[in-house]
Amino acid sequence: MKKQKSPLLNSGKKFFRSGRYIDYSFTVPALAFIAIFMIYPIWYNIVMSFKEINISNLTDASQQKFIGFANFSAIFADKYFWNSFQNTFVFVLFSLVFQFSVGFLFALYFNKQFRGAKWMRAIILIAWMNPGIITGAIFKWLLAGDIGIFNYLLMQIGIISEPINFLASTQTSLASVILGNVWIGIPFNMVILLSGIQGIGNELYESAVIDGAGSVKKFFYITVPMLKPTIMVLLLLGFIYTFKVFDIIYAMTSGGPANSSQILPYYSYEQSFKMFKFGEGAAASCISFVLIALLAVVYIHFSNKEEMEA
Amino acid sequence: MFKKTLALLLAAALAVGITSCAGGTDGKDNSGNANNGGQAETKELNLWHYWDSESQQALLADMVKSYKDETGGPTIKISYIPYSEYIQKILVTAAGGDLPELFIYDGNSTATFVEAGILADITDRINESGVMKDTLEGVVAEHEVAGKLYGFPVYANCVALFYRTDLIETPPTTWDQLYETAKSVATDDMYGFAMAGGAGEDAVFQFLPFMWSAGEDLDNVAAPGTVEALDMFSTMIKEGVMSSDTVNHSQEDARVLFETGRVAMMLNGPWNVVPLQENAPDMEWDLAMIPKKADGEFASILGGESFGIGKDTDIDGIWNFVEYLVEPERYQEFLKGLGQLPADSVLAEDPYYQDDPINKVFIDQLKSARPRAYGGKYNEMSKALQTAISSAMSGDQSAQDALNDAAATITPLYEEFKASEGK
Repeated sequence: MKKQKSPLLNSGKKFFRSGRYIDYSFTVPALAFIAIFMIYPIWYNIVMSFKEINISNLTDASQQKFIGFANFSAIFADKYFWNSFQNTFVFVLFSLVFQFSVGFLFALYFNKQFRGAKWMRAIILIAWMNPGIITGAIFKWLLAGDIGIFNYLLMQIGIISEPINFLASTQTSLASVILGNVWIGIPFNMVILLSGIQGIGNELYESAVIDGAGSVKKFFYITVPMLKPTIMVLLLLGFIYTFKVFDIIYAMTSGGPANSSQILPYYSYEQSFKMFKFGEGAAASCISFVLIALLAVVYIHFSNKEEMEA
Repeated sequence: MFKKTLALLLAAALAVGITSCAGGTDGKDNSGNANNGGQAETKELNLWHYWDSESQQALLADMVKSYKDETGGPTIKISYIPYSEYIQKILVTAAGGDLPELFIYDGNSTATFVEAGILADITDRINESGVMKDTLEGVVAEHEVAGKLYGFPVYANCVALFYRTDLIETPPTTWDQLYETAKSVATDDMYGFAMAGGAGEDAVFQFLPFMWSAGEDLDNVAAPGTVEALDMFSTMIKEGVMSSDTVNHSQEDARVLFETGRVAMMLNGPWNVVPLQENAPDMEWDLAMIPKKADGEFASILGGESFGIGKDTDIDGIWNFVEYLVEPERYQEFLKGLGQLPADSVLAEDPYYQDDPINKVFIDQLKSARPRAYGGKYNEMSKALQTAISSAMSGDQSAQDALNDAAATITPLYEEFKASEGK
C-alpha cells in the first residue's frame, strides 16, 4: 500500500506529469457525494456542538456564538446524559451478544439441507425487513403488563404468578427494548454468518473427518477460525447499528419510564427537538461519533495485525 | 491502512444520528427564487397546515376559493406538510426568511414560536378588528407573550371525564370520590380509571388540571396539592385500580382501554369522541367535569390549534382573508365542519353546542381550562414533570421524591419565565 515514499512536492509533480489526475478525476462524483452528504453534516454537527444554539437564535446564524466547551460541560453535568451513556453500553453489549449467538445457532441450523430450509430462512428475514417502528409497536403489545401475550404465556406455564410490567417498570424497560432489538438483529447475523459458513470449502471438513475430528472439533477448529473475518465485520456493523437505534425505543417506551430506557441517540434527539437545545443535542451526537470512531480505530488495529500474521 | 480508516470513519459517521438537519441553507436557495417570482406577478399568499383528514382539507380549500371568488382577493396557496416535519419545516423556512403568511400551529407552542422569531406581533390588528373580543380568557392568555398577541385560535379543546353510565350512576366530582368510585367499579377484568402517563406531553397535559385544581402551579411542583394528586394515581396503579402500564399509555391508549370495555372512567378530549362512537357504538357513556380537589376549583387544560402569521410577511394582504374567515356565521360553519369547539364565548351559545350533551360538557369545561403559558422553555419544564410522573407511577420513587427532583429543574425555569414576563 505504501509505495510512495518520496517527498510531497516530488510526488505532486509526478502526479500531474504522469496524467494520473485524469484517473483520479473519475472519483469526483463519489467524493462530492461524500462531501455534501456525509462530511458536511458531520462538520456542521461538530460546529453546532461548540455554539450556543437554541430556539431563539436558531433562525439567525449571526446570533449563534461560539461558546467553547460549554455545551459539553452542560451535558456532562446532566445526570440523564450519564444515564443514557451507561444505558447505551448495556444496550449495545447485550444486544450484540444475543443477536450474534442466536444468529449463529440459526446459521448452523439452516446450513443443514432439509426440506423447507430455504423458505424458512426467507421468512426469518422478515424480522429484519420490518420497519423498526412497527416491530416496536408489536413488542409494545407483546410485553404489555395487563394484556401482553408474554405475561399470559408465562403465567399459563406457571413461571410467574403476577404479570411483569416489562415496559412500565424502570427495572425491566431497558431489558425489554434489548429484547426487541435482538429480535430484529438475529436474521441479519444469521444471513451474514450463513453465507460465511457456506463459503468454507467442504474439503476442509472432509479432511478433518479423515483425521478423526468430531462435530465439536470441526466447529471450533474449522468453522470459527474460517469465519473470523466475517465475525469481525459483523460485530463492527452490529455495534454501529445497535449504537444508533432510535425507532424501536421511540415506539416501545419513548425512553421511559423516567428515562430508564433512554440511550444516547434518543437523548440527543430529545435535547435537540423536544427541548430545542440544539447545541447540547449536537454535543451528545459528537460524543456518539467519537465513541464509534474510536471503536473503528481499534478494529483497524486488530484487523491489520491479523493481516500481517496471515 | 489510510483507506480503511477513512472508510470506517465514514461508516461510523453514517451511523451517528446527526442533529444538524435544522440548518438553513437549502431553505434559503428555494425561497430566494419564490420571492422574486411572486413579487413580479400578482402576489400569491400562502397558507400552511398539517391537517391530514380530507374533510378538513376540503374546508380550507373551500374557504380559500370562496374568498377569491367573492372578494376578488389574491390567490392563497394551501400547502400540506405532515405533522412530523411541520415544525422543522417552519424553522428551516424562517431561517431563509420566507415564512408563509398564514399557518396553523399548536396554540400551546406560541411562546416557543415567538422566541424562535416565527410569529408576527398582531396585537394592534386583533384589537382594531375585534377578532378576539369574545375569546375565552385562557385562550387569549395562550397567545400572549409579554403583553403582546401573536396568534388567534382556530378552535379550542380541553380534557373531561368520560364514564360508563351503565356502571356509574353519579360521576365523581372530587378526588376522593374519583378514588372511591374507581375502586368500587374495578374488577379483575375492569380498571376503574385510565389516563395518559407516558413519556411525552400527553401525561403532563392530563396531570396539570389536577395541579391547578389544588391551587398549585409550576413555581413549586413539590407543593402538597400536586404531590397528593400524583400520589393518588400511584396508589391506584399499585392497587390495580389503574393499569400498571399507565406510564406507557397515551391518550389514545386510554381510549382503547375504554372502548374495549376494560375501564369504567377515563380522561380524554373531544377529538376522541368520534373514534369512540365509531369503535364502540353500543357503549353507554357520558361526560363530566374533571374531579376537583375537595376544597379546590374545577380545572381543565387548554388544547387546540391556532392561526399564526409569519413574521416579516405580507400581513396586510393576509389580514383581509383573516377578517373574511372569522365573520361569525362563516366561522361558525367552518368550526362545525371541523367538528371542533369554538374558543369564543358568543359562538359557544349556539344551540349546536348548548343542546348537544357532549358538546355542552366540553363547552362548560373549557371555561375552566387553563393554558400552558409558561414561556419558551415550557418543554424543559414539561420533560422534568414527565420524568417525575412516570417515576412515581412506575413505583420507582415516591410522589414526593419524584416531584422534589422535578421542582429542582422546574422552579428556576419558572422564575426565569416570570422575570421575562415582568420586563
